[in-house]
Amino acid sequence: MTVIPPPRPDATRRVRIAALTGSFCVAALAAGLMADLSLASGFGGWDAARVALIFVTTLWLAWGAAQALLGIPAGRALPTPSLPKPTAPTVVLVPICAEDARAVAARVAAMRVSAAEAGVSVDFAILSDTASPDLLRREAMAFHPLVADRDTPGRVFYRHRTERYGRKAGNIEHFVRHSGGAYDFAVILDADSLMEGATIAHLVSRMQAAPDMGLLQTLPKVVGARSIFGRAMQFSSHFYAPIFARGLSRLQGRTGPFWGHNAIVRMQALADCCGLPALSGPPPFGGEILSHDYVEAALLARGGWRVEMDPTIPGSFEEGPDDLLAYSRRDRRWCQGNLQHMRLLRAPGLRSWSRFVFAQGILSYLVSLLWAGFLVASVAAAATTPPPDYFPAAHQLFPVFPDDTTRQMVALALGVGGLLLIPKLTILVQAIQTRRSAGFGGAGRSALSVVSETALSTVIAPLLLAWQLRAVLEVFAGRDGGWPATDRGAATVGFRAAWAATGWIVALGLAVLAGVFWLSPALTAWLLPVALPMVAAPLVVVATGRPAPRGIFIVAAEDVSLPPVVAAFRDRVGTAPQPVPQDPAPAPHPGRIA
Amino acid sequence: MAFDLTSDPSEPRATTVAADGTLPPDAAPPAAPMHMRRQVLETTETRAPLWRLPLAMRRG
Repeated sequence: MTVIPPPRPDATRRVRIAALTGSFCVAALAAGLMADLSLASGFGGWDAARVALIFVTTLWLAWGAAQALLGIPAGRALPTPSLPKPTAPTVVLVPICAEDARAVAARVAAMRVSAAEAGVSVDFAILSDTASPDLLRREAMAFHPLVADRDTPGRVFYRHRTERYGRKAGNIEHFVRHSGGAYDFAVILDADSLMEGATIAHLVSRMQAAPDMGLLQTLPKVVGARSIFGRAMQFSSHFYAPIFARGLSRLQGRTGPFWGHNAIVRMQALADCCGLPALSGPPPFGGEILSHDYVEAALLARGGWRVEMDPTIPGSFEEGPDDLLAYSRRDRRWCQGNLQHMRLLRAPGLRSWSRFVFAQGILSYLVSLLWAGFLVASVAAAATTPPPDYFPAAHQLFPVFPDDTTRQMVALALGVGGLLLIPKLTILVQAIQTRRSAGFGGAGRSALSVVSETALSTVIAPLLLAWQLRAVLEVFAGRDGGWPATDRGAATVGFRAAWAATGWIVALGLAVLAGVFWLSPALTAWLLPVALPMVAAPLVVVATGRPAPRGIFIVAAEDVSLPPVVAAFRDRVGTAPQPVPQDPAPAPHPGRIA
Repeated sequence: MAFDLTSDPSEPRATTVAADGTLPPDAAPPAAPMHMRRQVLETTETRAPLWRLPLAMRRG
């Protein structure tokens, strides 16, 4: 049997050292420029704060850029190993909770037929955590034809949990405890996931060929977006994400990620390593582990299993939030989940890279606090700087002008902007060179989409900063955000809903503008790119939630030729999925281990 | 397994059930129980500073 070897540890180590060293050097350069800038007008306490803050925030940006640049080289083409025929008993798990049952049934039916066409026999298990009796009736009606169908290869099972401990991770765990012994592998999906049958077959073969592989993660591409915001995210997931993911894969080696869905896992490894405890103490830092996937990946690695991500595997799809409000609600949950990982940094036996990944997730949310701190420190430093003294000595004939710091300021601004832009532009150039841009409407359309996406990102960045800032402060204040139901297929956002969700951002933007104008009027113009989108937040939300114009953010999988499983799903579901009412909160975890 | 708690208090009490009588009787997944090890993520045994954890873990 062909055995696929793991990534070489020395190569992974070299990549990590290079990326970290490069990022630290760039951050040190930015901090040096900022220190130089501050020294020209006397170096105070606020200056020290902003030098420290620019170091950390630039380090973060440089780390992101390093991941993209690491993913640019295609690498040597390795001989494709001949994979074994996918014969191992495998189940595709579809955990749901208050979802549109009709849409879920259409996805499962499409994947089941696709799997049969690919020559792989897998079962599907729809695992319901829904509580509402009305929604349960709808589920029974929607899934009955699938469960009763014995003509198509592979069975479809459905079960409903009466005790909903552990949320999604608990739902999967419940299945493993009751039925895990019947299967070697489980493909874990989300309610909005789609996977080609050939992809499922490939995953099973890959697991059979690598007995030490605990989990293999695919890179799901976003499909089904309609709004400007959603289409921009969809474009990013098709255009940038494969390159970022390749860089990430090179960094992570055999201690890779699990994103909670669109991955295959070895059942025995899952049972041995991934029984998650509830953390001691109340939420948000205690209780059930919200971002369970990262923890499960770390636990599999702790157990000695390979956890890898392969962004080259095609045929893996998901849907994404279609407006900024839905995105911010999901981000609130992710924020709490990642900050909760502070409790796990010292968990026994974890690989150092797993601890690093936890720290990286924590910093990804804390960095918004640091950016806000940098803005405050910059305004405070400018406001507390004494006015220039042109005649410091008595009886001085000629004035002494302060040092011109324009060069350092421009260099710093260009450097920070460059860290954001260089990865996108490099990916664009690479896509044009390799003709990958053909799948995005050609070179011109790809460039237009990249420019539009960058402009959109610039406008929405202050809003995301504000939401993240609030989320971080809420979590530190002990407020549990819970796990709100995901809005799938929601209608466009109206101004009233946008105002209700962003009125406080408008007030914050106005307060920032007024405060800066009062303390340091010269800085007002510099802060406009941050403050103006905040003041216009409801309009930004409404405008980006509108249907996207044609001819922009083109992706082949959506605009040129639909992947077969996506086309089959849309044929079955007919119309757009309907939003479903909210479900009551789940039961607490019965087995808290302090 | 070093991190196994065999006396797991959280074995699920809920049995597998279908939503109601409208589904076929064999709608539920097959019964093939598998033991799921509850992991330990918090421990009072490790008091070493973070940078000494790997060494401390080896001693433990």
